[in-house]
Amino acid sequence: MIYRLKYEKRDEVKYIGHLDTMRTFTRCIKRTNLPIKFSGGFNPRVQLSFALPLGVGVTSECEYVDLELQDEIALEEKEIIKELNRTLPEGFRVTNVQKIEKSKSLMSLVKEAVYEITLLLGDADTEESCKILDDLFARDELLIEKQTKNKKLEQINLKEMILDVKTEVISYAAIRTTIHCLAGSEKNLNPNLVVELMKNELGEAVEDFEIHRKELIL
Amino acid sequence: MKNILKLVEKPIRYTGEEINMCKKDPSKVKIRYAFCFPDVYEIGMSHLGLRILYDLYNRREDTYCERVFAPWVDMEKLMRENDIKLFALETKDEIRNFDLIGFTLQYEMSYTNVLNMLDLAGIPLYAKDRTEGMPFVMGGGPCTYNPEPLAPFFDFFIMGEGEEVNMEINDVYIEWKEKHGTRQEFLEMVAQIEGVYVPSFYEPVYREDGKIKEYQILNPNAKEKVTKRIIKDLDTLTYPDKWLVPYLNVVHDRAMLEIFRGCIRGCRFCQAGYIYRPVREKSKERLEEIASNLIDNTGYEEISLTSLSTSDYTEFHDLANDLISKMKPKNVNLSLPSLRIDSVSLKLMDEMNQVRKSGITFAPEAGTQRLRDVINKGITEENILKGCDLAFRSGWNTIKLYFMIGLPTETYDDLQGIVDLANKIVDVYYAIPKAERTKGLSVTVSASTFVPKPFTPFQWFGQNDIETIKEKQEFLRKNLTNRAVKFNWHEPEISVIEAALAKGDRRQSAVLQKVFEKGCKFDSWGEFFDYQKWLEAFEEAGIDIKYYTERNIDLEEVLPWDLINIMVSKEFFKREYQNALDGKVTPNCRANCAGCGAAKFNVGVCFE
Repeated sequence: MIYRLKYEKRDEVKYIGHLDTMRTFTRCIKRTNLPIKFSGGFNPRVQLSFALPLGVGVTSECEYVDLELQDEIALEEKEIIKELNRTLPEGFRVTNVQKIEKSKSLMSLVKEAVYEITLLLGDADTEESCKILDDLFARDELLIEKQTKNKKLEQINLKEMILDVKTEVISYAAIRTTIHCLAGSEKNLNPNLVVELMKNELGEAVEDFEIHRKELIL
Repeated sequence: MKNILKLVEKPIRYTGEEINMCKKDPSKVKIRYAFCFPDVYEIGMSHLGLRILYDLYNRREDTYCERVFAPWVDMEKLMRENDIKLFALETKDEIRNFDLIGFTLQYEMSYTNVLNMLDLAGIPLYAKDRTEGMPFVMGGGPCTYNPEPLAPFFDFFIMGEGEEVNMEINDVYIEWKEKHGTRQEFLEMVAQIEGVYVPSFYEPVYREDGKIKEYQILNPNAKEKVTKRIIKDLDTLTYPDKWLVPYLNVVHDRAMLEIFRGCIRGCRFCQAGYIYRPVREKSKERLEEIASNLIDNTGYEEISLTSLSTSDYTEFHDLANDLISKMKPKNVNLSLPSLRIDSVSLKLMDEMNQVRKSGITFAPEAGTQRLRDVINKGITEENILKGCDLAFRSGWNTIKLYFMIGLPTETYDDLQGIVDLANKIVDVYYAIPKAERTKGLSVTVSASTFVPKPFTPFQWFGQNDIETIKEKQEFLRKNLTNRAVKFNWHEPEISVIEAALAKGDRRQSAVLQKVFEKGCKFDSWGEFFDYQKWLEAFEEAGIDIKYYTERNIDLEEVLPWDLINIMVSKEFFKREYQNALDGKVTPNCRANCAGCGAAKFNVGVCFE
């Protein structure tokens, strides 16, 4: 039986990379009383399939992972949530569990995402900064250089991947840009590159930033 | 600090919050203790001692023990730029406001990290410069058996196993704090505890030729000799059931099950073989109970049995079989390091990792039987070749061989012996019919440089000079020509510094200060070790490094570590020194008692 878990990743655990997150989940599940269905073969594993990896330092309220458990044992969704949250470290929290039919890999189902990028501004005017960013995102092209896997620099156009974007003032010293964008294994927007662009525009004014994944659209 | 975490490699090294991390309200404890491991997180978190003491301290309601590791160079740079003082992982509080700061000294090449961490913490490097209200800096671990090069930087050291003595120190600390004593009074109180060495209470006096004449005792509370502590019955110890599970892939990313302490073998170069005497085992029942706890509380995929020589556990096969049958349904693997290779152990290994046949390792340490007798390494060529034959026939094709070069009395015949042994292993492989062996033979010969250590029969021997070592390496490189044989060696420079520090005396503290000021750190990491800076530091301090490394020490000379009593007598070491020169083998502790002195503890293998 496959269960699709939705979970949050906040606080300090946002610094855990994707591979380490996968290992953390495996170990936590082994500490629960859930009827784990191990994979076959010489190296039996807990069967987990994650959706889109989350960058180091990015928080999220919409991570997904498919977990396979033994078919014979009937389980209440509530029970699974409780067991997982008992063993997961602080910062991780499972918010929803749904029984699903066997499906394609979660990763291949990911289509779009929504990110919130919060910028902490020092003395800079927040309204003015919003306007600068509105102008930035209104351009026809948003070019940025990115290092490819074989260490070469490649120019990519972020604009192609942005579906919708808006920036608003959220406090006297902070503004927030919400970006609805393409995500998944084909075209995927890396929010860190957007932050880079934004910092280039706003310059020294940016004191700190937070990236939060608000939605993942399957 | 949040800001800088975005800028460093692996920020999770600094954030804590791992599974089973201890959380306490710091305002409700009497002692805040910083357990410092002077290396990066992934190394420190692989250390069993940290886990044992972390658990033990935190079982006390009056103490909050937190962990501190050496920040990696990128983090250190940002911390210094932003004036962030060294903090503990659990609360992120600066450790300069803690009560006790304990460093574990596992290897000499971490000494510069100790100084760097004190500096980063904003704590004066020298104990004499610390004033009332500042934390006490204490040290423990194998390197403390000769703590002299570090002596001026520490308030006190602990000799031996820490479980009991650390608790006694905590009790004394609370007593002292409640009566508002002075720093000096606290040191006088701890100096009375067995196993505690307060270096400022002793002063080395030197002869005209620079050798040590004697140690003068400066305080009436100081003991004549400081005797190491051991735990008499290991079964009475609590074992961490709240085992910390790191997020990062640390070096030893598995649960560890300590099965015994000490080693019966008595290899003459090996300090661990003497300082942890006598051998004491945990009972099989206790170990199985601990293993169950570890499996349930960690979710780890592997448990490793730890000891100096796994096969020497008396009920080893029963234990391994019981554990395997217990762990198999939960898909937890058992890892068995330092096994003696024979048919039984191969069968066991076969059972454990059914597909992946990772390599088989032998540590003959020397190339000829003559030299193996000198070093008392009880392994014969026949053992090795037979083991290889069995391993090849059971499907293994990778053999690793560990050797040391520069051992006392070594000649080029012994080096030729290394070459011959590697070639014979290749012959054993090809003598087996093709159908009965796995393709792709690989024999790796690794040669490290011998480092004489205190509290071994070889403590009096000097080290080969660096040119001699390089010539010997060159010889092996030239002669290990078989296609299936790979040769690994290490640059000998690091072993020279290690030898100097291992056998150093208090005068070397000046070298450590200088080398720290030159920016040396992470010296055990090849990429950071800077030999030239070390040599400069020795020179600037006016200290001849060869006095410590290459010189053969006279048997009657006063040694810097003579103040420490490990309950293995100097007479025994002298006998063993002579036996080495005579090529005479000393049987292991179970076969025959060699009268080392450890029997005075009245426990363990001496009374089996």
